[in-house]
Amino acid sequence: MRDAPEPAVQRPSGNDSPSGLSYAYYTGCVAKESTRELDAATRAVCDALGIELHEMLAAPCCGAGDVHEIAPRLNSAVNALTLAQAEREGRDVLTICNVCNLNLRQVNDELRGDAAALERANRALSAAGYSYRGEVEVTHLLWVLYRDFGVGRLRAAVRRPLRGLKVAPFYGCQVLRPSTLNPVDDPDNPGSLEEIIGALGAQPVSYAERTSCCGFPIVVAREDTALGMSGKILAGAKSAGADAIVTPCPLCHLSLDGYQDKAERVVGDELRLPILHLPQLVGLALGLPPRSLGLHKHVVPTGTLLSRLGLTLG
Amino acid sequence: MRAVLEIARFDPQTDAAPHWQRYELDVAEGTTVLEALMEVQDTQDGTLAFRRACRHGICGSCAVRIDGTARLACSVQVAEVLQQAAALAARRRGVSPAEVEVGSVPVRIEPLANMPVIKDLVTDTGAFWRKIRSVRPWLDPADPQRDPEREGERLQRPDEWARVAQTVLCLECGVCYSQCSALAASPEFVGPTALTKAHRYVVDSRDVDTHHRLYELSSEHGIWECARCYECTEHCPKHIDVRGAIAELGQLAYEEGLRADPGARHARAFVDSLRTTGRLEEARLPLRTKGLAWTLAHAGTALQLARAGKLPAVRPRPIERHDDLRHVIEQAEAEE
Repeated sequence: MRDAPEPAVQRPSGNDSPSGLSYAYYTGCVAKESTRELDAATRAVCDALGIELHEMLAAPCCGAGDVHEIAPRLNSAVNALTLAQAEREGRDVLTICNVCNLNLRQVNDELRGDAAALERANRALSAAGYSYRGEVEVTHLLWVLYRDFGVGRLRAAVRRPLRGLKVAPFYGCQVLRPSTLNPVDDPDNPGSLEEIIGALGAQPVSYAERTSCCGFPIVVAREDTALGMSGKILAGAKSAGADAIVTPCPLCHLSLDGYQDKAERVVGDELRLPILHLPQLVGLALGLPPRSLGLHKHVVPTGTLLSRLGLTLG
Repeated sequence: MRAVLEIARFDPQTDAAPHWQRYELDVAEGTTVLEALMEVQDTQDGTLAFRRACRHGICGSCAVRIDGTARLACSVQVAEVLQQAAALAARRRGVSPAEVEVGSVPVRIEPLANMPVIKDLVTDTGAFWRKIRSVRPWLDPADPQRDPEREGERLQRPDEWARVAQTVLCLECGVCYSQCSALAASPEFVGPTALTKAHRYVVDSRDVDTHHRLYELSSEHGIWECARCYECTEHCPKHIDVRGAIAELGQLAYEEGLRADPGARHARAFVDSLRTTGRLEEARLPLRTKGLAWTLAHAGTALQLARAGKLPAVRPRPIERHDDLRHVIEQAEAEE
């Protein structure tokens, strides 16, 4: 683990939350559509931990790296709007998606380091009556739970230890790499997910593919390549004896859960491995009802996994 | 300092598969992994095979995987990797780092990934070089008959040089090629090294073949097969932002009107949905990217999502104050 630089600055306004943590909550698009259970689980867990969320209802799509690729200046202006909205609220931005996190952090880094880029973005923002000074931090739920809320407090909040459960951590790329924009984990040997899994009473499973790429950005444009990538991860976790995979990214989740049957055909093996969003795993250990965490909204059913914890989807 | 190396040995004449062989040696402070390999070869096992030449990080010959990550053996000190290995072992065992003695945990050295192994740490780089050659890594200057003004010395302004100044540093060492996630699943992908070389010529002000280069790079196994895992950017020993270079190739191809690839259409769909709702229109993405026939043939995934209650709306509700975003987009585009 590398030394964490400055933790996200906590501002006075709206910050009398029980945990001392309060964020402008950027759900990203996918948690409002095909992974709505991630949004539900995030709210349930943050509510239980006393982390205050103020949803950014007027924030645009981050562009997913696609807008960055074909129209980089437009990408900077669009993400600057999100940053400016948070700055006006006086809150840092909490993301729950690796891709949103990287895109917002990339643009934030660009605007803070390049006066001409900031000026250009501010000319675009002025058309909507906004401006940005570069004072907002962008962070990810994984980092907040691990570093800002802290593994110790998380362990203390556990009501239903996940004993006997073997969980394979899957980080996804863009919360690790490039490490210049990741203040928390070693990109090759990360440990935050393992520590969280351990704090929840479950056993982290070790396998080589935990930091590799799920292929989601090209799953529509180059499906076979993407399935080869996700198949390897699923097979690696399965053969390491995992009961489930946990991931902090909804796109990795879609790739590993929504496309799992297709990946099975590529790896030629039956997998049926439940894929949990990070806050779903945390929520189970906090004693929250599985349905409130959206565990019924998975392509690969979670029933068998829950029954091992003595739970049902109810 | 005592060091334990576990090296992946493979001799195609006698071995069915690679196996780990353990070597113990004393290394002085500052010893590099390459020097340790040379020491093993000189004093313990003359049959150990690996590539090397310059020994100071410029020839790009000695790249190997060290504890799973591709690096130049000459640019990494043994002490550093021993310390990392011990720290990692401590974390796995759930004990404090002080409890695991540095040097007690072996460092594993393997050949680069995504290439066949010839012997031990020596890989077959045939496909690697074939792909680099395929991007025609040489300047194509103007035809002096047709463009007499460009005859003679071709000068560059500093800002023109700045565009190639990063990708020109590529050593062709294969680190990014070994780390590349898409290549591991699709061996025909041209890969990050060749794309880095391509970038260096595409953006060079002295090259006249830009459009044709970008046309070729927009093929099935070109620019748009990159999955944006950032392994290349993360591990390049020359600190080239390889993924950034690939993204710039995508941008330039798009600007050249090369927009037929599903990857380019996918990107276009994101730009358009900012204008219509400010949100990704997830349900339309397959249609926009791959067309109707493909989307119908692949309706199974959508059906499964629907059954799990996860089907995205055909047109999501726009973000609040969507007009703000529209004004920002119009202003940004007016400046382009």
